[in-house]
Amino acid sequence: MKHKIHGWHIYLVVTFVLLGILISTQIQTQSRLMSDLSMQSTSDLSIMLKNLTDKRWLLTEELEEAEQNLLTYQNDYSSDTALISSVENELNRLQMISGTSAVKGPGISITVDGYMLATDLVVVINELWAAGAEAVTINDCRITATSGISYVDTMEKTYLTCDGTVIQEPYEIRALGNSSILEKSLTMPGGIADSLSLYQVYLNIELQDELTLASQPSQLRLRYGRVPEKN
Amino acid sequence: MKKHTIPRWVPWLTLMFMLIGLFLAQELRIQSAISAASADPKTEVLISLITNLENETAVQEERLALIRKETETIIQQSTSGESHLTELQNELALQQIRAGITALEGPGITIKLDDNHAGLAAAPNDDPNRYVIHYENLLHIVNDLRNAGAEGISINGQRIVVSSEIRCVGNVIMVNTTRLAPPFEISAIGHPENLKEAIDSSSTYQQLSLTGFPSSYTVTDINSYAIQLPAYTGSFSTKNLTAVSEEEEV
Repeated sequence: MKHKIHGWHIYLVVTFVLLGILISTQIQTQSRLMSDLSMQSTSDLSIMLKNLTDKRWLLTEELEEAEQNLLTYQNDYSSDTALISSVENELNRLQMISGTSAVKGPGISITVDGYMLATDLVVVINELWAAGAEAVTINDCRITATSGISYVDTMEKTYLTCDGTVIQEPYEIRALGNSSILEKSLTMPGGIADSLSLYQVYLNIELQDELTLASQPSQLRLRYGRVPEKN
Repeated sequence: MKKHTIPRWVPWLTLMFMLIGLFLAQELRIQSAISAASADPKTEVLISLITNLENETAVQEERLALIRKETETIIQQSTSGESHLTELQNELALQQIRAGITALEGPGITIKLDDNHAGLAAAPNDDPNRYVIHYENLLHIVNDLRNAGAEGISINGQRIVVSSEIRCVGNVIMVNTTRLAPPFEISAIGHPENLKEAIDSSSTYQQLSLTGFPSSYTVTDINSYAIQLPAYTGSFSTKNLTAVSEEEEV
């Protein structure tokens, strides 16, 4: 049997090819669109600029210190005491960051009034880090890089957990850092405090000159991962 | 008299041209929105400032990572009569892992998520926000992985450390103050089965997957080192922190 190619076959092929190209470019444009800088509002761009300026400032500070330290290590290579005291300083800093050591300093304490969900707590903690918090606890649970927030159900009620340990009400979140910046990040109009209040969850925030945050005893020890050879 | 018949290709062609017309119109609308937005001189200035700062901080991060490595090498290669130094060297190596300033490799899971382009294309007049991945989605998946014992996590090459924020500014998702764009790839090192279970029972992942977002994951063998996480190259702020000695703590 002979297959005859009609004129309209060719038209159809051409139009479908064109259609395909159009749809694909359209999808590309749309996905680029949402996250493209040129599509963000001036106020959002200003926020980004402010965050990046802060980031640059922090990096500049840490770079200066790291360069200074490196010089010390390179020059005082032979002197044990200098080397050891530098290593101890660096250790002290990393222990405060990772949550291995307890820390104190200015910050805010937030007492939660209402029925807070695990997901809400995750969002509040994230908001505090975004606002430049340097250490965070929920009750006595110090947040580390591996800390997870979850919940357990019992017959009577649902309990929140932090790193697998039940945290009892009332919940008190503490964060160290610039207390007024931390407070504003939660209470700004349309912010997390506003949205929680819709669910009758209220954050009572107090600015403190000095707060102590517990250390986290259950710290990461690698069981599955390792540092690559050529790190 | 000759009867007029409409050739078979006419309705096809009409339909196709109508569709092409619709797409072109949509495309034009988008293009004009872009040019309207970037026509604002203030926006243009802001964008160039942002891009400059992004480049500058990227250079700083690279330099910081390099200095950290060099310092690490000097410290770990130093020998001394004092056995105290060896102790310090080991503790330092451990703390660097906890802080996330070393790369990590191991078994685990890689999750891929993308905006729901097909869903949006099928409903172009619907709210586009319903078809994009939001920062909360990533945040809750990271929390699910942490609950499953993940030893390290990264999103699109950004290592998640203790102070890493996951947020959005406008429609842009930022992690470690770095802009990320979809598709998102979340990698985590840990017990592969536990991590898989966490994703299978993650309400965030399941909801995205059920509502048409392209989502998938792959799990490695437990003896594999296929998951590679980069080191965190950003800074840590500690200027408000003072260590509390153990006696003081009690």
